[in-house]
Amino acid sequence: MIRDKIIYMLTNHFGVSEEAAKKLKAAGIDNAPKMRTATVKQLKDAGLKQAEIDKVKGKK
Amino acid sequence: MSHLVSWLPPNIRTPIWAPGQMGVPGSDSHEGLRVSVEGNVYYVDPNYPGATTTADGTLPTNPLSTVAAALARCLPYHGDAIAVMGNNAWGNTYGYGRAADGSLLAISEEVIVTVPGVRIVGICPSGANGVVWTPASNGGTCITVRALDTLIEGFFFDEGAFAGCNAISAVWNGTTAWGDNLTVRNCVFSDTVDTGIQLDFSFYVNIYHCAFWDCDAYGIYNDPAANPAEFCDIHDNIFHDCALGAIKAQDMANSHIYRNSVYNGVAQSGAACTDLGFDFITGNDNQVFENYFSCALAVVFADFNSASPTDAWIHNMTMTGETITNP
Repeated sequence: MIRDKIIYMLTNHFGVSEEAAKKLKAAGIDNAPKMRTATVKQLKDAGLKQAEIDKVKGKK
Repeated sequence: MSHLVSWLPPNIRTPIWAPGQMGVPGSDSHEGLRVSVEGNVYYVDPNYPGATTTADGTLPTNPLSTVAAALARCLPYHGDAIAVMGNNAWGNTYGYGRAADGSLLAISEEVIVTVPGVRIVGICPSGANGVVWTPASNGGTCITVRALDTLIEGFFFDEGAFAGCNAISAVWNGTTAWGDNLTVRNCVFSDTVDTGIQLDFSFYVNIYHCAFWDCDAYGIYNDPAANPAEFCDIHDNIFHDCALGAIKAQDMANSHIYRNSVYNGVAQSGAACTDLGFDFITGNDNQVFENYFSCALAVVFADFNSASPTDAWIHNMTMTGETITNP
């Protein structure tokens, strides 16, 4: 695998942009369980747009 | 399933093709065609007289007594293989065979594969279902894969003398150890196994020619609270009456699942059987085709299985006809 697997998972499974995924990873939100329990504030701080936040919250 | 094991690469040194061909360096090597340049075969046979964890292990007549000891000898991408000899655990634990025939010890271990590129093969010369492997504790996991490119084949997983068994677990350790590129083939998971194969953040996993017989929990499981499995190739398996689901991998993505036989008695009866077949509901982009389900087309198929909105379920068969839509 050439790409960063965590970045890939955050973009593919949660539908966030690559730029946001990098910020999330840097903030320690680097796996699916953490994404599922992340607060809206954490997601906003990572630069996610409201539509992306809604998508994340819609994922189990 | 061990009768399906093809004992060829990575280490066989085939005879040279011919006395050598002029102008083709290496064609006359006295060692023949070598698929792997440096790899070793480590033999494991706890039933062999005098087998120890400190044996040389590279001769069938001087085998190691545990798979863990063999794994400790393997080097990353060295082309190493571990050949686990057959046993007569059937005659010991189960009483089907004859104790007098000897070789009664099953492989009873819980190993963690941390070296990438290793092949672990159960060798049975007959039509056996596989080399019997049980955990070493109640509910233990026989093989945890935390290295890339592992191949496991030719084993019959069972709880043996313990209560509960998880056979194979390819689970991310949360940092840098992944169980990607795992291949599991020609294995049998008995009716005493809880979960046959568990995945977590496992990509490029191949699972084929396996039989999951009446597993007490799942045939294949990806914890919905964990990380998704992706790019999996799952085909030509039997999932028979797995109590909580044949494949429960709700976040499964970008995978192809085909030509599997899925029987469930509850589904067959027409009763409520929610997601006891395949469950990929929160995943994406899976192609699911030519599987056979023991349920009626109307109503039950959609209860038995769950697809993600971007899945493509094509030409799957039920007791009352072919399905043409996602469940």
